[in-house]
Amino acid sequence: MKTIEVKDQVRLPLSRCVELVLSGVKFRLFRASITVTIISLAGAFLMTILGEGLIARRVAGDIESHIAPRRALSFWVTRISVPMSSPQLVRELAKTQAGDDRWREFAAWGHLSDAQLSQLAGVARRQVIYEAYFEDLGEGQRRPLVGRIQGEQIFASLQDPARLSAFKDVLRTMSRQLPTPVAELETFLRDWQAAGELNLAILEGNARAVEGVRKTYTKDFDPQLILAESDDSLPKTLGTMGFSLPARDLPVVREQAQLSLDAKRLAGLLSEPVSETAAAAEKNAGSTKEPTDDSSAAGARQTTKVLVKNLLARRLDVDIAAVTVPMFYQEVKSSAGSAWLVEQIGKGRLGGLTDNRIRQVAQYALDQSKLETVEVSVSQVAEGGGFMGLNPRTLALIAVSFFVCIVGIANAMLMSVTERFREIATMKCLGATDGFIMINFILESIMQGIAGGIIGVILGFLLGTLRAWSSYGWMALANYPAANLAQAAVVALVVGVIISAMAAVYPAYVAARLAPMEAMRIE
Amino acid sequence: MNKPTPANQTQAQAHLPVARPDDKERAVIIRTRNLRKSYRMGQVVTEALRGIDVELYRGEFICVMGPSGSGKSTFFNMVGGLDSPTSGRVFIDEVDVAQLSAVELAFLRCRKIGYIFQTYNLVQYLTALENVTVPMAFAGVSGDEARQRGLALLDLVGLKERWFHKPIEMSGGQQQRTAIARSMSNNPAILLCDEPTGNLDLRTGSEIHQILKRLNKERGVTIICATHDHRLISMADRIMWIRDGQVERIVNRSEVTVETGSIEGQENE
Repeated sequence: MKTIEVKDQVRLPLSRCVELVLSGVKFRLFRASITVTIISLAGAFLMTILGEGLIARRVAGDIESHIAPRRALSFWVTRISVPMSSPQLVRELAKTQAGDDRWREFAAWGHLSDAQLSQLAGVARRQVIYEAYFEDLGEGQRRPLVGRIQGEQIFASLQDPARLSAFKDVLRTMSRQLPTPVAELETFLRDWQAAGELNLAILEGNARAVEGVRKTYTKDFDPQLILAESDDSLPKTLGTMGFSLPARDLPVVREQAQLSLDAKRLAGLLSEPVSETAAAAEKNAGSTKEPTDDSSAAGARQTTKVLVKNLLARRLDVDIAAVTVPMFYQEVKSSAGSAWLVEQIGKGRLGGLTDNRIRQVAQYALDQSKLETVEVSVSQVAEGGGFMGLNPRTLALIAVSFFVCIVGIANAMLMSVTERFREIATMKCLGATDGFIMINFILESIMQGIAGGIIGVILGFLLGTLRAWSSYGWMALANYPAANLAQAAVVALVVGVIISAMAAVYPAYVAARLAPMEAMRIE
Repeated sequence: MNKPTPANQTQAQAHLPVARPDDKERAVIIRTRNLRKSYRMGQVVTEALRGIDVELYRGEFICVMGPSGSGKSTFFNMVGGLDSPTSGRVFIDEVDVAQLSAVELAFLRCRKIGYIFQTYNLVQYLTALENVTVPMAFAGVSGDEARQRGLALLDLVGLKERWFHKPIEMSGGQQQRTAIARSMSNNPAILLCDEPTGNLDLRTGSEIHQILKRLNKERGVTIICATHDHRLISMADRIMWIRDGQVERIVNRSEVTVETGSIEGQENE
């Protein structure tokens, strides 16, 4: 008996496979477009989320650098002008670390030792945890447990042994338990009671310190002004009252205070009366038709006083009632606008506000409102680390979408296999191996994956940018993380290709297992 | 796998009338030994082939006839290396098909056997020339050599001028001629034709007949042809009838009269 001398049936080179698949795909363009569409949707989805998240995180970082100095200013303005409340003290105590600025302030105000203070900080930390627990409970659960009272009142009321035992009884019936064993809560309640007096001492010390500031700067007490006009002696002066303003923070706070004051002053200019230029006055007289006939000659020579606001309304061609402060900032932000303002008011009356300063301050004031609105929306998107900065929920969503995608592609490919039964079987009659058929189908899917991936990445990239732009406006484009986005694009593309390859495995297997005699079948 | 042949079966086969071709010296190219094939469909086991022993000779033109469900297609699959028997053996060019791996079967199908289908089965998205060169690619022939050989084959079937046409741009007869060119692309020893003119009208059918006849005569290709077409049968060297999974009889062409409308084998003896 003869044997066939064959080690391996000749394998087609990959280029020939690609060529074959390409002409096949071209022939069945519609079927291929389904797969391409599915992949591109998945790719666009992934890319939108990745792109938007990347931009958001970059914006968040940028905002943080913008906002931190502003926060420092508002912190110090409140710090030196308003006495602390008890909940605020607890929050700060919970965050404080031994030896930091707040720590030193508390120690000074309450005349406390480090040991006492760390005891207080510990109690405060536990209090924050318990308060979060009570706040998290729904109204229906909290009512039977602690009644209507809220915040630290809860701990005050639980000092009553009768109420505590009732509390424990109700707690036992609840599905949502305390974050700690009940015994620890009882310890905490005792500690809390003990800490109350010391906390009070700190608060009293703080109130005295605020009073002290008020007494030191009696003339027009304005905390912003104090900070803006401060010199390097301020930390020391405040230090005598127990405040701990680090000398290195002072320049930032001072600059912010100056900007803030200047912004106020700039806004004030809007209601500044100025003399109109002759041409403008004429125009004004013509348009308003004021009955100035009696004081005709004298009136013409006399310069009329109008508010800057009126001039701005005329300049922008809007109604005076419609003029807003942001509009004013927007106008003087440009060099033409600031020059106009200087010209209208005159250098002498502007105080220290130069052209440049006006533009800077206007920008500062405009940023303020934008930062406030953007900060909220950014914080929602930007948080959550994990894979590529996606939070678990988003990841799960993406995973599900990919699964749906795989099923969809597998279905389309299976239909394609069914449609091509005869072609596949004929190929096998002509000498195609199972491997060739399998590679063919997977290659086809991969090629569709690449096409779909590219379309999807472009789509998602545009969509993500658009969404980021609509949420954060100019900040999105100013903080464009091009390199990271390119990385995300590669990830989305690779994922698209992997998905389509995975989805093709089963259909390709079905095709490869097809018996060659199917070619003989006549439908 | 090879069940011992029951004695009565052998006897039943032994007295079957088997015609031999005129030239007794011819070499056997396909030989089956007690070939059996059964399909399981749910609980029912259908015996498609019930012990077939035939010898087909190199260079002969044999027509296989039989009503549908006779096992004709199954027999074709067996001798074409498309399916493996339940028991018994098929030797194609002295090679036991049952012993071959999937890759070796692909090799065998690629080089030893050419297939011609009733439905042409050309790859729809390839041109005539590309279709013809596909099996060459599987045999490792590509580039200019494949192109030259492909064009020569298309010339052989009279389609050289239409090498760039796609199947949809060709008539049925042209498609079948392309399919014949394709089946010949690796110079197979055997051409397996399954109703090659079943979908064609009389005139285009006879073109196909002429080509097959020429391949048989000039190139010495063994042609195994399932058909009901009288003109094709009249060209055959031998005619084989299959019924109920067994060979009913094999006769030389000269022993039958082919009539229009019906064909019956002469009663033997």
